[in-house]
Amino acid sequence: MDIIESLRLLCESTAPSGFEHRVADLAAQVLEPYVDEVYVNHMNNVIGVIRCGKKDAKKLMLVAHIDEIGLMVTGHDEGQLRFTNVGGVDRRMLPSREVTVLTEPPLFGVIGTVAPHVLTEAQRNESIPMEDLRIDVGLTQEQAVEAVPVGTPVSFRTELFTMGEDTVVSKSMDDRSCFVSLCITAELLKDRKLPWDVYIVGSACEELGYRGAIPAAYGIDPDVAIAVDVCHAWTPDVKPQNNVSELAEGPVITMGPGACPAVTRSLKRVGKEHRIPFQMAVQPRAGGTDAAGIQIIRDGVAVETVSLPLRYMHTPLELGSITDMKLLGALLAEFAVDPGEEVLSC
Amino acid sequence: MNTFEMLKKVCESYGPAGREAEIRKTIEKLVKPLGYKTTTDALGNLICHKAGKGVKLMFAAHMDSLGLIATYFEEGGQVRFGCIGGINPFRLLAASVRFANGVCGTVEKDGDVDFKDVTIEKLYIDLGVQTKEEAMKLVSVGDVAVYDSPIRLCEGGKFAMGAYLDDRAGCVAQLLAMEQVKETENDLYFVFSTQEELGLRGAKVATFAIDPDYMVACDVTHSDDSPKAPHVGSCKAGCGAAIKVMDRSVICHPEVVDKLVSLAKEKNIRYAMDVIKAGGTDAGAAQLSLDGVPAGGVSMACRYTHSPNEMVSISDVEDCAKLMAAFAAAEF
Repeated sequence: MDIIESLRLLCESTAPSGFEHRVADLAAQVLEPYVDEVYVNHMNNVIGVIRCGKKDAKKLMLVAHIDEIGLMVTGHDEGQLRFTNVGGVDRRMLPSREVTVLTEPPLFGVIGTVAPHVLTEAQRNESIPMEDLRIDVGLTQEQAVEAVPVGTPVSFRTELFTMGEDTVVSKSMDDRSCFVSLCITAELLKDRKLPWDVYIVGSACEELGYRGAIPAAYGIDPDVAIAVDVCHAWTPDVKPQNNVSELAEGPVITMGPGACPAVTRSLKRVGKEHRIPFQMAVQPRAGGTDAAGIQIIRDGVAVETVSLPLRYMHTPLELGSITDMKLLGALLAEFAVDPGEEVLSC
Repeated sequence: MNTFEMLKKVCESYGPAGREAEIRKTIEKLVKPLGYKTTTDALGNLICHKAGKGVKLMFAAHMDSLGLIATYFEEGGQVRFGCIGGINPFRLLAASVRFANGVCGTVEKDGDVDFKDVTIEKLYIDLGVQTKEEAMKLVSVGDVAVYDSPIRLCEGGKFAMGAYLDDRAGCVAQLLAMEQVKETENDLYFVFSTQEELGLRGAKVATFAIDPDYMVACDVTHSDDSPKAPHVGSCKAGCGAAIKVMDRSVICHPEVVDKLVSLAKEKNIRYAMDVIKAGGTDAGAAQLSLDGVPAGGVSMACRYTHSPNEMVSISDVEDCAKLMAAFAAAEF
């Protein structure tokens, strides 16, 4: 598969949490060549299945979310749009952003700022509260009320680009780069003998508390589930004790209460056996990924989070590594083929 | 009984979260003539069913209210309490309250506490007694007090004010919708849910049991009409049925939102789009149930929610009822 083009297709799509129907069909399309069956369900979760051929087989669920953080229109002030956040938007990133207002057809917008000339010295160093910002769509009040109903979602507007030989920058790399990594996994599983059915899921509404993955997992009823999400890669400001991952040094296997120790052990073994570089991270809580939601559905699921290092998370310019995506895809493919007896008895 | 009289009857019934027996009895009586089969589940949800072969639709309005649960008696008979549901301590100062047995009191702060430093721990209920022994004859640890503000019709007849319009106004809208709904193939469930104020707990189990195709919650939403309002919501009391797009618990399924908007336009029902930055509704629990339920909401913009004197427009209640009745009979 063409990784950059798949990323471009998905990351440039505009689908804030709750509006995944805007990207779900495209995600299904990218996954489709590598699975036996793929569909978009009633909650806009994308679900692909690779069958092992055995009756009543166990089920592995690999899940990456397809929603993105965004904004939502809450009102109109002299033609400009008031808005609130959908998911954990960093308000420091908002002033002077280009956005797409997701009406039909979509509108360009800019988040306006006050010129520095008229600010006091103190104001120049302050971040502006979201309540004080507006989206300018170049309309009068009357036109704006008519064209942009309250409740309209808004997405950041970034075109994907590459830098150097290995890095990609775009909005929504969190978490569509992980979904593309799962498509790589699916591609690698072609003609491989599997001990279980593998479900590859693009989940909705993760940014609001795994609201898509919880019902998706209920429906699939997996024996083991691995959430694939982004984690923080090194940036110049981090301290050594922050224990962040390094970009382009491989996927990050999580240890902690939100991870089934048998799955953690198996992933490490698989990485070593197949010489796939990986990193380890500690998550002392239940975790903030789909795995935390899936762990406690039905009578419980053995879960794990495997992460992709990412710089500048939750900004409109998230930076990731193609090398990491390939390594992540390979690690999960080899795990799916040979999880080991301990995991298969989970 | 007109809408206001119904509001008065339903709002003034006792029923804090977890103790919904009395309010359930009140609502059951009002449901009785409407021809629904009613059941009560283990969490106390009142589930009203009219069977049909078509799409399974679930509506829910929560019948529980906030409350103050007695925890400790001071020597002078003052009752310390914990909150059932989200209560701002400033809203409680000087509030009239009553317990299930009719014992009434007022909420006050400790003598050494400045108004701006008030927290729940520094408040007590004064039952009008002088000793612990007297107080303990009237009330026991674990008894729950509710606001004792009657429902009144404001001058001009447009607004009702009083306690627990959140969400007894929703219960009334749902009762009106149950009465108005036309002949339909749809399989209809109207739930008067419990424990919403504790985190949408009744609706969670009710949705699991019903397994609906679509769910609509009827609740109150924020009314953005105080002077200098910071716009935490998009609707104002009197705007008609507030069609929910997002609150803290849910981003409504676009299919449900679109259906409600198109029905409102088709039937000429006043409506506004509702986005709030705080608060949740039963729709939030329903969407996560089973393998996911497409959920939405219709709400009444309510002033001063969770205070002893909430305010709701009576025509908004009626508009919500019309929209729910239209949704109940709609084709999917």
